[in-house]
Amino acid sequence: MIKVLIVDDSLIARRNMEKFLKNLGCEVMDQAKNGVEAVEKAARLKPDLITMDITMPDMDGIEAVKLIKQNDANAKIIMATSHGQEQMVLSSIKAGARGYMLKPVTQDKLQAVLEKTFPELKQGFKARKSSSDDIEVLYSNDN
Amino acid sequence: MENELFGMLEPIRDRAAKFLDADLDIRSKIGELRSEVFSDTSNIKNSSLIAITSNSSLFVAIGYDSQLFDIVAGHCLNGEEVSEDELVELRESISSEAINIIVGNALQTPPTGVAINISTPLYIDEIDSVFKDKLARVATTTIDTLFGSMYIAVVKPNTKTANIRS
Repeated sequence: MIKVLIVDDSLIARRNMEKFLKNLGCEVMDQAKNGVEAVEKAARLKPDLITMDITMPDMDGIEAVKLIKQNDANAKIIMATSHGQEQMVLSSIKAGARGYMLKPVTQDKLQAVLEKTFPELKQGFKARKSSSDDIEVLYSNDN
Repeated sequence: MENELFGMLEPIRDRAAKFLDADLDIRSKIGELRSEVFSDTSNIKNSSLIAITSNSSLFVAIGYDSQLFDIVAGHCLNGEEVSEDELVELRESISSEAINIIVGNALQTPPTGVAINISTPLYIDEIDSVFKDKLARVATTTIDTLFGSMYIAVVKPNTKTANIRS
C-alpha cells in the first residue's frame, strides 16, 4: 500500500485529498499544515509520496520541497496548488517536485496526474474506472 | 486606475463563474464591473480575502449570500456529514479555499504581465471590513445564481503599506 503525507494549510483541501487518496487504495500516514511540519514529518515517517501545497504560513511548499529533497533525494513529491503561474511551476520543479497539479483536485484528476507522474507507483493504486486522458497536467516528469 | 482594477477583477469574475458553473454545477450569470462599493453589504457573509502584490498591492475579497454559500459548502463536502465541532472551521476553510482557487487560477497569466505574489487567504466573514478605507479605490461585481449571489471586490488601499488584518 502506498503511504502518503498530505501537506496543505486548508482543512477542506486536506480532507478531500485524504478521501481521494483512500479511494485509490493509498494509506494516508499523516497530514501537515505548513512547510515546517512537512519537513519534520517527511523525515520521521518517510512516506512513499508527498502531496504539497505551495502557499502556506511559516514555510511555503517550495522551500519545504527543497529541504525534504536535501534530506532524502529519492522523496516523491507532487505539488497540488491553485497557483498556475509559470514561475511557480518552474520553481517547484527546480526544487525537486516531480509533478504539478492545479486545484481544484478531483478524484479523476488526482488519479490521472499520479499515474502519469509516478508510473512506478501505478500498480499500487487501486484499480478504478480509467481516468480521463484530457485532464490538464501542468507538469509531470517520470525521469 | 479603473483599468488596473478592472483588469484584475475581470479574470477573477470569469474564473469565479466557472468555479460555480463547471466545478460545482451551479448555473450562474456574471454581472458588470463597477467602480463602487456594494449598495448593501449586510447580507454578504462567509467572506475571505487575499492580498496580491506585484507592481502595487491589492486585496481581493469574495463573499456570499448565505444560501449560496450553503450550497457551495455542500458541494465541497460532497454531501458528507460533518460534526458540530468541525463545522465552523470547515466553513471558514471552504470560503478560504474557494478564493484561493479562484484567484490562483484566474491569475495564472497575470494581467499586469509581471509575476505576482498571492498571500494565504484570510477569513473575515463580513465583507464590510475591506471597505473601511474610504480613500481606497474599489472595483466590484456580482455573480448571480438561483441560490443568491457571490460578491467580488478588488480594493487598492490608499496607504502604501496595507495591513490586511486591520
